[in-house]
Amino acid sequence: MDALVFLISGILMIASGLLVVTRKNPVYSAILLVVFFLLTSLNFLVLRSPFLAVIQVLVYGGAIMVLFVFVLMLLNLTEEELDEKVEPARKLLAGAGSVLLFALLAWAIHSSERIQAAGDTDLTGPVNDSAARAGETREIGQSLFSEHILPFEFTSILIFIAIIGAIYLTKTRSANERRTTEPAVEQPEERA
Amino acid sequence: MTLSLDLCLYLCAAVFSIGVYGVLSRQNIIVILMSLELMLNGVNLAIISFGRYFITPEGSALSGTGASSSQIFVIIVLAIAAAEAAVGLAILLAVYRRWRSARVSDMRLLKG
Amino acid sequence: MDKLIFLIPLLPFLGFLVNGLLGRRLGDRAVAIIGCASVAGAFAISVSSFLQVYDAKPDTFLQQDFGAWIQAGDLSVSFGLVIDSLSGVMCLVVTGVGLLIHIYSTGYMKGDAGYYRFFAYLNLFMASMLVLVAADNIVLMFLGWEGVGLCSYLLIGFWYKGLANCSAGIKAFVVNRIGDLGFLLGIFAIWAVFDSFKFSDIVADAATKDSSAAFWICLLLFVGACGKSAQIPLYVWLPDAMAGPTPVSALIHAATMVTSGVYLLARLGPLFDAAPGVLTIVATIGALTALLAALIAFSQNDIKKVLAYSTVSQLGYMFLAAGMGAYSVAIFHVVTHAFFKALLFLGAGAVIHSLHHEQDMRRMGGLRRRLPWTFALYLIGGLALSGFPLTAGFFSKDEILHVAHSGLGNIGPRGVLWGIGLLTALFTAFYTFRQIALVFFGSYRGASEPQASEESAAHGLELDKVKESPLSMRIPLIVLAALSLTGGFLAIPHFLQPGIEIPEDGKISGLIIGGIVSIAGIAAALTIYLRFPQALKGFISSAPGKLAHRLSSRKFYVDEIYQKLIIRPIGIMAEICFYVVDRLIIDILLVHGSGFGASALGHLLRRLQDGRTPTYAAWFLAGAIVVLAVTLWAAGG
Repeated sequence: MDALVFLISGILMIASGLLVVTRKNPVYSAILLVVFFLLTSLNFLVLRSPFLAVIQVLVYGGAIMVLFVFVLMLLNLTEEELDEKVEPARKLLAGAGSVLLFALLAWAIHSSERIQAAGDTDLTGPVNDSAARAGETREIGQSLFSEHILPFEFTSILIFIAIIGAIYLTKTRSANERRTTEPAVEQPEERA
Repeated sequence: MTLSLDLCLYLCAAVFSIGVYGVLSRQNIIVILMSLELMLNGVNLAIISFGRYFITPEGSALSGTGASSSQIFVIIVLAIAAAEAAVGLAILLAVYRRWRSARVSDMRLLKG
Repeated sequence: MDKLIFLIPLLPFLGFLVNGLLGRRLGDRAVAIIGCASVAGAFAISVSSFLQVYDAKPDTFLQQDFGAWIQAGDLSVSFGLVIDSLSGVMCLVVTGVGLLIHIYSTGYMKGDAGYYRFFAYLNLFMASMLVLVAADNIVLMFLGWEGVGLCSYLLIGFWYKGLANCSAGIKAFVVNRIGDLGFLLGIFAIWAVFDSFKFSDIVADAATKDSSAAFWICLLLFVGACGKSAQIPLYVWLPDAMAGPTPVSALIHAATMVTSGVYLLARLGPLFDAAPGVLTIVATIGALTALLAALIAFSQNDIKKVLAYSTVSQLGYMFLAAGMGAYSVAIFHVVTHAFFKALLFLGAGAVIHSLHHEQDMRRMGGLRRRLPWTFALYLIGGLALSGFPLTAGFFSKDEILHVAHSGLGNIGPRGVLWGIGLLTALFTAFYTFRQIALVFFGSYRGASEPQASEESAAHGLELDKVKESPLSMRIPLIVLAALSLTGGFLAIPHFLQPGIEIPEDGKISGLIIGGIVSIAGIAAALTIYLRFPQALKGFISSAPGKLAHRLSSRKFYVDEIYQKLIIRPIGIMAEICFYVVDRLIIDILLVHGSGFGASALGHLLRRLQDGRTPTYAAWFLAGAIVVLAVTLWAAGG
């Protein structure tokens, strides 16, 4: 039953992912991306990661998506600006590259002895006794704040830096300030 | 019906490749950033799959780390993804303010 | 005293440093004093060292070792000097004749712009030559060997503004280099065979080694000796070397440096004794050189060229003696030759000086009245060179002929060699007195005779303006003349090789034959050139005479043959190397090619960098795909 859920949800993930990258209007893409995140969250649940499933919904489906939609709204791109004018040849080339990449990855998965050694082990099946509570919030919390405290702290520093960077980049400087500090930047040659 | 490890990984590879296609074929920076999120999700799913395999009785022998390591890994990737999205969108805003364009091809200052 | 022998080469070297570095400021007088004093000091120490060796028992020597000079693995070359009977004699000759020539030069070079430079070079030469002579191992000897070669080059091209002088210097250097290659290879071979560079070790072990090894070592060393001592086929540089100042010709190219090849043979005598095949070659080459050079000397018109060929010829004599195993006899001739040939060169220099740098004998004549001192001294030198009875050359040359006739060893065609030697003695007397007749007898032709050759200075000096040279130039000549007259009574062979067994029978008759030949040559030359010059002209204009004269005056076309056979092919090879290797392969293909290739590649690659982020992303993906594919392929997937 779980496996079936995973399979269906996986197929839907692929479908929604394809739609995300092919929709012309980024608003549709954003909505489809939410669908994709929810489906991923479902698969996390199937793979015994309830905490991550919740986080996935909260962070991706919530925070990050809000950010995307907010920016979309902020830019408020016109119909003409939304037309990306991508040459078909480029699309074809990108598609060929992606397919080739997928083929190679599949080949790698197929030929990896250690992955194939897993064989038909059912990922929805029973777990080892020692790991009975793996994936639960309590377990993760204990692991995160004891065993993995160093990476955790580094990650917090990273996020802090990202916050500062984002604020700096988006801050509107006064006209007075701009005149003295901003160097003359080359204008783009072609402007859509 | 069983859910085998390689089936999960094929799914991850497919999602990742779709993300790659999006990055390469789109001009709109917002969509490119979305595609990046797609790729990161593919990777996350792969990590979770491995972690799940390592807590099965068959796979536990192969695991070199604690049962929750994969979860921690994904949390960190998630945090980085959030940071990346924040900074990426901030850059997009700055670029748009400067050139009134969200097209990635208009950003060609990398040429020396 | 034996602690002071290091000063023998060191004093002239210090003189070189002072003169070379400070000479321009010191002034000519101080330079001359320093130059002469340093050599005089070396001479004094040489004399005392020599006396010490001479007084003591045979086979004693003074030695001084200054530790390792070159050290690499097993190879160790010490910086050691040794004064034994052989090097003692050589040191005496080098410093003694050198001192006289230094004194002479103070007068001869007066007023020359390069006065201090001249004395610096001369002192450096003395230092190198004394290192060569006093070295206790062959590598140190090679240092001196190269040092004298360098000084020879510098002094031949001393008047470097004349192209002919410079090319003569280069010719001497290059020809010597051919010989030096042989010498170097010989040194390597010695190390391979003897595991030592020390002369004492080599000489002691010479008899125990393989005879073919000795043969090759000796042959290679002889090639070196040929280059330095101007033997066939490497003699061509010496006549051209006369482009240098005359004192240089006397010191380097007559008395000392050119005899170092003979000295090398004498130093390694026992080694050469172990290679009789090489000794035969040495004797043959010596005899042939003696004859060839004498023939060429017949028709030379340059006063110094005659003496140069005469030097080559006399060096041939020395090698003839060395080839017979009679090294002491060869050294004997080295010593007497140093006396009378230095005398002749310095005398010629005095003539040249008096005639304001006129060297062409066709523009001389009748000078004996204007230059009585020079004439008398030159005559003594000429007699000694001709082997006139009881002069120095008489004894040493007849010793050589005697050795060749009946002497030591078991050398092949001894009768032929003796015959050649005797014939050369006759020729020597003839060309020497031809020269004296042309220069000092007859009537003066300097003012009237039209310009004979391009090189000689066109002064057209009147005879009554010709003056004797200064006293500083005359005193050395007098000393040398005295030595030329009495040097033959030094019993050098018996001192150097106490055990030498020169058969006594036939010695007196040999001396008589030598004396007769010498007098005959002198008489013939004087008769022909003073009484019957018309007959000579008639002979030269006849067909066989013309041919002989042309062969002799064109030096048997040896230079031309070398030009055609060796220099031209090498030149063509050099051109090929230049155009094909240098121009085409290195310049065009490698230098320009690499530059062009890099820029072409750059033009190609810059298209990849169009500044668009998607392009970079695409290349990123391409790279990832390639890496993935390669990794999988390598893993054998």
